[in-house]
Amino acid sequence: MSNSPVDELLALKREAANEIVDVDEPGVKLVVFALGERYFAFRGKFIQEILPGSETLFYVPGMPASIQGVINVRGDIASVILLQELLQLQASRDNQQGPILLGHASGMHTGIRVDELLDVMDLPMSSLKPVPDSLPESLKPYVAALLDFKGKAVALLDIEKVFQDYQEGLG
Amino acid sequence: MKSPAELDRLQLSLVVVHLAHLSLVLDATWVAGCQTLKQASDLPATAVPAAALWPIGEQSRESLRLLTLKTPEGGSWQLAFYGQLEFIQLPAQDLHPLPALMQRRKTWPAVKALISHQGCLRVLLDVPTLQQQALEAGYSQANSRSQLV
Repeated sequence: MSNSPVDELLALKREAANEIVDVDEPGVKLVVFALGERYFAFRGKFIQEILPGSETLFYVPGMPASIQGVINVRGDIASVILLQELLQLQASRDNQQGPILLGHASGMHTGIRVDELLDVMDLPMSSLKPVPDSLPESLKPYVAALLDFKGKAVALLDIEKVFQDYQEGLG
Repeated sequence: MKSPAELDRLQLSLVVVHLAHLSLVLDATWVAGCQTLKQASDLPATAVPAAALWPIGEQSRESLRLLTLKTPEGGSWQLAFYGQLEFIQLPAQDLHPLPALMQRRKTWPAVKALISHQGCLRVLLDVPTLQQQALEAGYSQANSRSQLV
């Protein structure tokens, strides 16, 4: 006895499903943010939390200007730093209001004040492009890759290198 | 040596120095006394002006105080500043180590730790390091060997 049309249709669909090629490729989660006019990103796995930036910031004297102070995040005390000096970018006009990315890498845990949080997104690894020679020299040590975000170039920062150099006294 | 549980139950005796726009904290075990002076001319010549040690800019000119601080060698030295003083006791959990990054990058060696107090985080200063700083700044009187009376 021949199969019913339903069975045939189901068989066809199963066959088609089996033919679907697995196109998943390794992805990467990115936290995209702005420092002034430039767009940057960190890998999401290094960012524990994104704070709105309205947290009370306590000034600590005797620190470099790039350390804004400390915040208390549910009992966890974290420093808050600015990256503009390290990356040789122009200081932001109002650097007391932007969101704070709580970063954790290279044994270091700190808040990073940014001007604007643009997106948190998952991208295929193939979206990451090599760093071009035209990138400013001051950024080259810290930029691991470039990607496109709404038609604008985003520099993916190597947070471990950023933190290492910051600890060594740069910025 | 105290166990971690014993340390957790400790009460910290601290002296808060309230300046015009900032409050700093000292471990009270290093503080031998405090005087309020009516005018700057009452300051002993041996007093070290705090403004020479604290990188915190302009201070108000109200309430001139003279703190007598102990040295590790059993002597004393005096630190003069404009501001208010408060003696407090806090549980050990209100003491926080300086975040590692700040420990690495601090430009003022006397910054030692952070204290939670009245909803604020305040800087705890290391008194022996302040004394060392005073000596390096040329205040040789911060090396008094005289025993406290």
